[in-house]
Amino acid sequence: MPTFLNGGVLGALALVGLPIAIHLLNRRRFKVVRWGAMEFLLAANKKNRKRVRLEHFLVLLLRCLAMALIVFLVARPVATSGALNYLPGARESVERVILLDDSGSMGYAAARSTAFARAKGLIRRIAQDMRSARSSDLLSVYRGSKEQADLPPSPPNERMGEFLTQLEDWAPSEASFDAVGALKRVLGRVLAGEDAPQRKVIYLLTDLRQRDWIGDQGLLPKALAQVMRAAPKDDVAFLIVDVGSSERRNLGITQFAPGEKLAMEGVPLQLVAKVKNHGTQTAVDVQLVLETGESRVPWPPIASIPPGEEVEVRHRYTFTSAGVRQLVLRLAEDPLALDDARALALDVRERLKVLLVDGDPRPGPLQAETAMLQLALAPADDSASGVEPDVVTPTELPGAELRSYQAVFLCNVEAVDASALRTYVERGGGLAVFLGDAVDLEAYRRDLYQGGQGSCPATWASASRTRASTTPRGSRSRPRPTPWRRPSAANTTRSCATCGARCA
Amino acid sequence: MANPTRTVLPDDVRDRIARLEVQAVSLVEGLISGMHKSPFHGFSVEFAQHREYTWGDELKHVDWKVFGRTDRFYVKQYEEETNLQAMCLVDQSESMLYRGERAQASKYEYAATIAAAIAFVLIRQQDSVGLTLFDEEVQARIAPTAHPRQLRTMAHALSHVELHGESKRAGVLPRLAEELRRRGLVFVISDLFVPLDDFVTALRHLRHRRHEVVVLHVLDPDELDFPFQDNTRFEGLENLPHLMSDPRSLRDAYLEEVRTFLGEVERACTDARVDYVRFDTSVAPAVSISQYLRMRLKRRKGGR
Repeated sequence: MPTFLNGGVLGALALVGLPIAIHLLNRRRFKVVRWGAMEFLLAANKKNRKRVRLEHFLVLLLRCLAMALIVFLVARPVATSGALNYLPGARESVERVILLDDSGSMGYAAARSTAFARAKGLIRRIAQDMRSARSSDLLSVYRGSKEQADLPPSPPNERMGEFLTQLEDWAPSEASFDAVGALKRVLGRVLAGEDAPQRKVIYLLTDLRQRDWIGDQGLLPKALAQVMRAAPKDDVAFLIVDVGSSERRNLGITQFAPGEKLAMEGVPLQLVAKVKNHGTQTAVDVQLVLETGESRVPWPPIASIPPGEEVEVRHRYTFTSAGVRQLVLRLAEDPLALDDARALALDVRERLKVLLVDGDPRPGPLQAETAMLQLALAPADDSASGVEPDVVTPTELPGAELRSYQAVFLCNVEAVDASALRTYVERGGGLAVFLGDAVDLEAYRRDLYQGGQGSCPATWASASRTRASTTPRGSRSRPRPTPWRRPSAANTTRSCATCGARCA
Repeated sequence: MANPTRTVLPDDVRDRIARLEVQAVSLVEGLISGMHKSPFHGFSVEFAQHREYTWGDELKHVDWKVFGRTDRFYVKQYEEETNLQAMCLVDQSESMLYRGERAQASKYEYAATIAAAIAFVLIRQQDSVGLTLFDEEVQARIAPTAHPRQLRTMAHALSHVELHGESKRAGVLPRLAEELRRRGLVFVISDLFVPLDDFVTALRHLRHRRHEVVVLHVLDPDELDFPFQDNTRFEGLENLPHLMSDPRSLRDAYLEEVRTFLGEVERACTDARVDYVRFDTSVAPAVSISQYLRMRLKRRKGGR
């Protein structure tokens, strides 16, 4: 049965009656002439009657046929091969092989759908066409990124129906399309198939990206031609179907990382992102949206990105709660979704507890060995650093619950209980050692380094001690203060006076 | 016999024909004033014998050919030295009523105009002229006379006519021919939608009686080229049946029929050595009549 694309129009076939109606109406409309030379007219009519009638009939028939033809044209009949098979020279059956380019670029959305969706639509149509009219044909489907056939050669049966259901869930891979390799592989399989029909048609559904089809050196077309020419010419036909679009717009996020190492609750965290314009035209007003899981935070748009250029943007985000958190940065609008989002997983801490061990606690402002360090880690004003230092003396150290601290700072401590610290470090705690005049280096070398087996990875040299000892204890020369900057505390300058000449 | 399609000559036609007398005068006067020879003069003057020239005879009657042969003067004597007698046979059958869109007048009006014009020319030169109106029968007959009132009498007869008869019926033409006994000039003014055999027979009769016959064939341009386009019901005049038809499909065959008819008529005239002139009613009567008279004059000058 022939099928029609606009079958509904067939109702208009009633229009075939129109010429007949016009003819009948016309017969009722006539002029009257009183005619003298009637004899000739009658004679002419007598001679002509049959011919005229036949002519009129033929003209009427042609008019009716013309109406029918117009209706059929609008209805768009589709000649299915079921009918064509009866024509002389028609082949019995054909193996249809679909090689689907499932590279990432097939996800490029243009004209309301992605190239991949269009390719899937085509596969469905081929399958439906086979089911309705080419039941003797076989269909097999390969994906460029897969080694095995997704659908081995099958007639249009239930298995194909199952396959079509699976097809709905397919998505483009993130790989590129090796056209030559995939074609070679598929051709090998197809030609090796034994029961398959002689005649084969290989459909290549692809978006014809330059990278996949021309290659960087432009050698791919030649290689492809070679592969195709190697196939038996009479039996294998290639059909390259371009499902892509000519649009070249594409932006991608190439980097998304925190600008700082620590992410803490309530402390603004700098985030660094780079956006590249892969297209051929300048992109303007590029919108970025940060998804935090709880909310979507739009970033100020990037004014313009010239083609081929990469633009870096930095913005801050403050976490309101602690825990393991995911950040996703998304480009608001881009045809190719593959590179439009980057995610970041961060362990956001409530606060960072550190233990400062003061080997030389002295009363008075900034006189204690740990005073400056404490100020540096937790500034006195509102600017939150997230660090919470506790200060203890060496004698209090053994009693301290080391496990609750992230790091231990030894500041000019004469000697320590090496075993407790070793356990702590082995569990992942941080240990910082600031030397000073009270330090017994020998004990440090012995207890902390332990000839390479201790908690410190290196030992201490003695030369520095000599220099340190030349400094008279009473007249401490302080090193030049190093500015410590933080946006919120930029005006404050503090100096470290903890460990004499050693601490820089 | 009551004819259902009885047609009385319409009033306006009657009016126009009533002015025939004036019309004929104006038509012909300009044409032949200044002509020294009449297009119709002296047809029936028949040579009887020669006699010897005597004093008093007009020199123009001297037969110079005889003088050339015999060196003697002879004068030609004519049997009948009366004026020419002419008869107009005008067809008043129903088919003469047809008038197409392009025509100047209906065929009958046209024929009447021609008849009046001829009558005027003849009466002017003191020849006698008569009129016979016929359809299937002779409907009116006016005996030939050269009286100046004759033109008015004829015009009156021509305009008081009912057109309903059928010239198609056989017999009238031969009968008319039979009745015309005195030798003279006979004008047959008709569309000739008559049986061809009748026409041929009539011509033979007339020729047999040594009449000079002129056939003035009046046709409407529609009848000659059949220009109808839309569906048309042709209602037959003279009791012929109707025909519903698409004229375009009939045109070629019709024209073929007409061509055959005209060919046959012309052949019949040629065979009978009769003058045949066709009038197309789309040409103004003044133009075609003057053309005919000129042609006639030229021919006479040329050689008869």
